[in-house]
Amino acid sequence: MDWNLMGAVILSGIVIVFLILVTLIAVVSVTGRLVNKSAFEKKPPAAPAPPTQSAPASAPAAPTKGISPAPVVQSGIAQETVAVISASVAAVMDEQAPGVPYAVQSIQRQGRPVWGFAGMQQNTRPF
Amino acid sequence: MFSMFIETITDLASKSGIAGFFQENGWGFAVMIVISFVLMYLAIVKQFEPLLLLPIAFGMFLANLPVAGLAANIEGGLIYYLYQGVKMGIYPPLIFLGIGTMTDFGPLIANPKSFLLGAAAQIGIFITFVGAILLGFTPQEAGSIGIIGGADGPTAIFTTSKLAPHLLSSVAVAAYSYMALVPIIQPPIMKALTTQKERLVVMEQLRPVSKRERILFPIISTLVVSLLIPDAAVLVGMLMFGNILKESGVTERLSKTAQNELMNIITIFLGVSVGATASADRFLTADTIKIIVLGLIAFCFGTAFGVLFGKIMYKVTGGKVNPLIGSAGVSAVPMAARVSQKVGAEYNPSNFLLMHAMGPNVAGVIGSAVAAGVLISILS
Repeated sequence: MDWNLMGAVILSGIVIVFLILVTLIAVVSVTGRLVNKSAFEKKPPAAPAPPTQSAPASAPAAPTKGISPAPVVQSGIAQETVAVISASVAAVMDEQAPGVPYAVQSIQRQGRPVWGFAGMQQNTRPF
Repeated sequence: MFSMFIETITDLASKSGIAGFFQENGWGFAVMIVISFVLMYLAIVKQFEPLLLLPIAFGMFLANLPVAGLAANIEGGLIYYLYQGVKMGIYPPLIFLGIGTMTDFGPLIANPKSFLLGAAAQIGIFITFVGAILLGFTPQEAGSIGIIGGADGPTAIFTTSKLAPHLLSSVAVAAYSYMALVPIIQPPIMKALTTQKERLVVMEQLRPVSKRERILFPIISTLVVSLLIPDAAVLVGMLMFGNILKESGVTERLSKTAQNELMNIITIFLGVSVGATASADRFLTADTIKIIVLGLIAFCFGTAFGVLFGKIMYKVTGGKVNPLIGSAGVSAVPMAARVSQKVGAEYNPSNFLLMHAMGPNVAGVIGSAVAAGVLISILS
């Protein structure tokens, strides 16, 4: 039995596999940073957003008597999305609590989008 | 006239396959045919890796029909010529091409540390190498047996065809059997090596990966691996070639062909010809039983080291890594990642580990190809 060969295969095998994959970690990380940095630098300066889109999500406008203020919408959420969410809330309120005053004060993204969560649940359920 | 008729019938009977069962060692054909039926049952009814197990089982069946001469080593027949693609190492890289077109390296690019888990899961290969040597196998045979622990069928076939072609059928059957049994083999090891607290870890969402990164990844990986281990270049190169066909977005036709028609054709050729190497005289030996046992050990060690390295990452990152994704470092894609997801979801149904586990899982494909390259370069 060639113990030298056995030792050499084990040692060199494990070391080389780790070495190559660690090299790949370094190269992939550096490439990722360079690519993302150049993409960020190429981005044109953001145009001033309309007030409804740029207002901070944590500062909802106080409702005034009679007319509800426009909801504070997190930057990046389209007006169409705001309209759909407001219409959905209106439909639910009209059905479940008719006559009760309400206002959509702010719309902001959660950590994990609800629909994304639902989709993920659907896709991973079989596993 | 009547005597001539009898003579003809007797002659035909003596040359028939049925007579073959009653020749010396003819019982071996019968046993192998029964084994092929069992494998067909597992493929069709239990759906264990049916795309490869069924062609392998049918190839085994054909090779053991007495007198028909359909074994891969009998020169001149169809299967003999199909087998040349295995012998010359053509089919496994083409399978890798198809796998590349179906692989999403996004989770690995988003979290490159997953490479470590893919590397750790390869330790089982080298531990089994020692076990095989101790059981009396030659270093080349031991390398072919150890690679079963990589849980990558094409890599196992490629390595064995280079190092110990006479073990091809046993290694292929063991490799694909264990790949199919991932959901049964891995969970007990994963649960035994982790604590309840570790299994409940919810990992942070992965960052989005740009198209440019996705295109650069196959080029860079091929460059790094091929320059360091030229023997792994053909496997990794074809894997990454397939991937760039997919990620570039400009070769949709080629990508679709590689992942459908080409992959299916090669799978048929590979499966039937590997199965046809399992003739009774080669397969019904004590070595086959040893290979099956050693393959299981390799696979278990691979899973265990992946999970143990996951635990190290859990400690180092202050509890941000769920060690269950470590088991996906063996490269049975995507089955091993699904197992991580399933075991994680058993303890927290809202914990989605699938994408996190895909990182080590695809890293395992690269890791096992690198390990194969190392074994081939040292032992051939």
